[in-house]
Amino acid sequence: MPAATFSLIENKSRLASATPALADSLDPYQPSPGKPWNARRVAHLYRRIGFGATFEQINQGLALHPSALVDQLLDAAAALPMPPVPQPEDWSQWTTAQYANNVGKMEEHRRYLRHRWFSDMLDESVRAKMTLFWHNHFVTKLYIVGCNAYTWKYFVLLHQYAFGNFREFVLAMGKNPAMLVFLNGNVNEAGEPNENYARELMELFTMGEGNGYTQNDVVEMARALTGWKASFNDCTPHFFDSTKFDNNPKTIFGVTGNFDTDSAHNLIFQERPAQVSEFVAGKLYRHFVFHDIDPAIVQGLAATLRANNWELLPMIKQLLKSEHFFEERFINSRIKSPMELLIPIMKTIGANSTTHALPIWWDDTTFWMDRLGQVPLDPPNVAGWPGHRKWINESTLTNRWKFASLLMSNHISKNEALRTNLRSLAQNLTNNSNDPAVIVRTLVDFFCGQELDAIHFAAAVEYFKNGIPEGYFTDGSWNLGWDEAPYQVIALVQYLAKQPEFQLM
Amino acid sequence: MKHKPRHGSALEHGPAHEQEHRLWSRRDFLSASGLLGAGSMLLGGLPVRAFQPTPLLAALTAANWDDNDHILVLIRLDGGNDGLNTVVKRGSSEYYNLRPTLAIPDNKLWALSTQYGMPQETNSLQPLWTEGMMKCIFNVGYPSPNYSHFRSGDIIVSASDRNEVVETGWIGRFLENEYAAFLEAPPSVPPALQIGVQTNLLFTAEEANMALAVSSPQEFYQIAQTGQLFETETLTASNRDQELAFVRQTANAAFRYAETIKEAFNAGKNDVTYPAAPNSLSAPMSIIARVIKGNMGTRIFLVDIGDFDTHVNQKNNHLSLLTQLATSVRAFYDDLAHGNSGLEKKVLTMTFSEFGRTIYENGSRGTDHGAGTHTLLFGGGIGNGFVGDYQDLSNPDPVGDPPFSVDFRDVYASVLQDWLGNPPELVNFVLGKPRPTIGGLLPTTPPALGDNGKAALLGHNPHATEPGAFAIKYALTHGSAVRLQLLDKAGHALRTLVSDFVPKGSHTFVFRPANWYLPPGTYQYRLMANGQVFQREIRF
Repeated sequence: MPAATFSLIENKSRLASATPALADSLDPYQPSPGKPWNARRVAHLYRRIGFGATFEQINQGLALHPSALVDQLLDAAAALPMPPVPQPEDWSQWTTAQYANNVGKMEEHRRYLRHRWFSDMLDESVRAKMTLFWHNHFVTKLYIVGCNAYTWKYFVLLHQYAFGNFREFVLAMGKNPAMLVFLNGNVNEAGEPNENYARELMELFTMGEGNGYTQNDVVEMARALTGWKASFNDCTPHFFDSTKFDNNPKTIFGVTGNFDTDSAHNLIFQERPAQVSEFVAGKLYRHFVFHDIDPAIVQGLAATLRANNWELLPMIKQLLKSEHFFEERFINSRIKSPMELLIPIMKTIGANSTTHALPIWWDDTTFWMDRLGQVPLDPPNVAGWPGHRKWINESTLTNRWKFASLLMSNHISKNEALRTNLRSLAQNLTNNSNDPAVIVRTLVDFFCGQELDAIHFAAAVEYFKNGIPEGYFTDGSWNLGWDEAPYQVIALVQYLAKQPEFQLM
Repeated sequence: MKHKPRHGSALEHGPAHEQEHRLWSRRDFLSASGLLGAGSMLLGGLPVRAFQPTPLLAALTAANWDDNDHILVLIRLDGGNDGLNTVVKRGSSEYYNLRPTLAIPDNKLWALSTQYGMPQETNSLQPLWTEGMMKCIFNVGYPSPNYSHFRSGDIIVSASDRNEVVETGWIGRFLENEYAAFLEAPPSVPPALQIGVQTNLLFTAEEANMALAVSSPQEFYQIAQTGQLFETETLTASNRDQELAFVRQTANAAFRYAETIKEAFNAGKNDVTYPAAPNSLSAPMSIIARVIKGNMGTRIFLVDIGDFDTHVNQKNNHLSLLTQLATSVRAFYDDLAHGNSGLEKKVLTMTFSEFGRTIYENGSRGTDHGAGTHTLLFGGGIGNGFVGDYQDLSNPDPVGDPPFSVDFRDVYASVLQDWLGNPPELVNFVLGKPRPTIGGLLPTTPPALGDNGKAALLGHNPHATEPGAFAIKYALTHGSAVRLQLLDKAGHALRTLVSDFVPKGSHTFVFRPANWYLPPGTYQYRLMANGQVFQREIRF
């Protein structure tokens, strides 16, 4: 692809005239002169579906029809094998007794699990982003669950159903030991009911707050869910104890029967399909598109979910293929989560976990994610990270600047392969231009997806020149082949990361 | 006589060039973070926005130099300024032989003295010279110079030895000690202001960058006029612009200097016309004058002017740069002195450059990277004259340079001690080792004594329960070697009460005079910590 056509920035005049005539439904997006399938839209898809695209991936995407690219990415993600057991030590079934003789392993394994997720986000991208979404839907917290083996089962479950059947997902989550511990299902017994899980099951996982259930339904639902046992003290396998099950009739949503975990879950989907489907479709809409829900679109998605017997993949595909999703007004309109800030910086310059990311990267990442407010397996509470503008305040924003700066200077600048990638990226994007203004304009495109104003653009050029005397640029002797070119890109990205535009995707 | 080009010449990208860029590549790329200030740290798990400064931190917020109102403006001549053509040794046959096309004929000079002159293009400086507002320090440099722009530039601003890599700058180290609680209780006035994007190492301290770095005069005007870092007025109602507005507003709120800048900019004004474009110093110098006149409170300024790397066709290019420098500095001082304000006497301006250039010209009517170069000082009341020895132009080694005359760190020592009024202990701390000051270079200012209300030495009280004892309280924002000494009225140290490494935090030393065999009387006690020195009187 000739470099000249690479632009993530929509033509301004087109922007102005676009607003009235929107092709804006769940129908598949068909590229047109007014709404072209260009690098900007390919990048939009990659950012929303995963953690961004390399130059090469954008070019590959351009060669496909948008729907074909969505199919390719999602089918590949859905077909990935289940996560292999932890390495080099398989602790997936370790009990507390085993940890007792291995002081320090408890934390080591937790660190491994965090690093694993970071690595997956970088490598798998699409599926790892989906599991992060579901983690934030079905929240558990590692340090409250306490048992690593339970959390491993939870981690695997997120992968198992990431693109699977939502009804089965909810049911399996209700029987997952990490969730049983986190929301007290493990102490919910006949005669001593605990409403915690029953309430969140309806409020946060399926129907939405106050949306089609009563307090009495919560009480009765709790009785149906009794009998599950999981011990975070022992970390031994969880089980169903029929002697703790409330083996009496319950009345939920006005339906009476001796419901147990399975049948009570089925009842939700049977009695409240509209509420459940619209609730989960709305949440996915906010995740993929925009924080303000478009009711008609969400209803359409909900219908698709129901029509496909709660299979998630058709609905997700429908949304990401839609002309609605590719509307100009949604591009670069979402505030990045901390992960969406971090991973794409690395992903888009071709980093992968095996060759580029040492554990120390991920330790630093954990440290910074803590400051930015998104450590995996540690959301603030059962409602998850609220996201959107809650990500940004004066403290997290300035920490985002610092973090991006340190990521570039402490890690990327010290990795020769990535420095080479940065050089190649700049060369490929610009046809190996030696004009700093051209290079910066293109890299601003690539990293920010939108133009900077004149003042900040001029500053960006100065940062890119990075102290190299002007004479080397004006006499034509400087070019991207110079030893310091990768460092110049690094200095530029550090500056760009401080632009408000960089916080949007 | 013709010499081969060398030292990173633009003409021949030889090994020297490669070497230079490799060295430079080792730099840390932590870029100027002055824009955000330090207010981004969490304190005790609380984001700073939720943090209310305690009275102690509030007291530590201000710098400890209020009784010295001297200001320092640094002008960096990027690329390596040619000293020989900046201040010319008049009538030197060596000079004219070494530089057959570049030498400036005597009739194109204005005379600083019978021996030295400057190009006529800089004659706007002549009044400064004759009125005793200008000095020239000849051939400033350091032993075994490094000819890489970047490495040598780092040496110059970090004040390191040639083979020592220091990741902080001399001004940064100085300011970190002036603003002992910079991170915990960020000041509302930027300790330093840099206009331009380069050389942020100068302001880098151990834990923070002490300067507000504004990338361009245009960016400064925007901040000064709108009181905002990022403008939000022109954003539309689109999804994207609404989110962008939110992020921009948050960034604006995090940028705590905006109001200070706006106020100072509005309170000050330029009373002279600054040189017209193209002049890359004109706008930055006018901004600095304006905020000084508007009482912003910032004491250190840095501006850059580039293109001094004159390997090719130097003559007119270099003269144009010197013209920009001369006319801007002249306008700056005229502006400061306007209306007999006396401000010009409070502002010292100093040029510096990573190195000088070869004393001979190369094959392309330019000069290559050389050793020492002249430093120019401007300011009311500094007098005029020359310091140090001009480069020895006789019998030059074709591959060497005349050795430097004045070590750049001695210039810094003089500025820190004599101009900024710091005690020698602090100067030694900032420069890493004792450096002599240059006698007579600058008018001396007595060192400021620690101010009880604003310093890390909080003072003393009679001990609450122990008659005759005193509680001497001090606070450290970093762990530090601490010396607490008792002095007589004349300032002679009598006893060392504490000499130990003390962790950060607030501390109380219980002073029992009897235990130290001290007769009743009036004494002083002195705290030296974190490179700062504070002194107070005590009676018992």
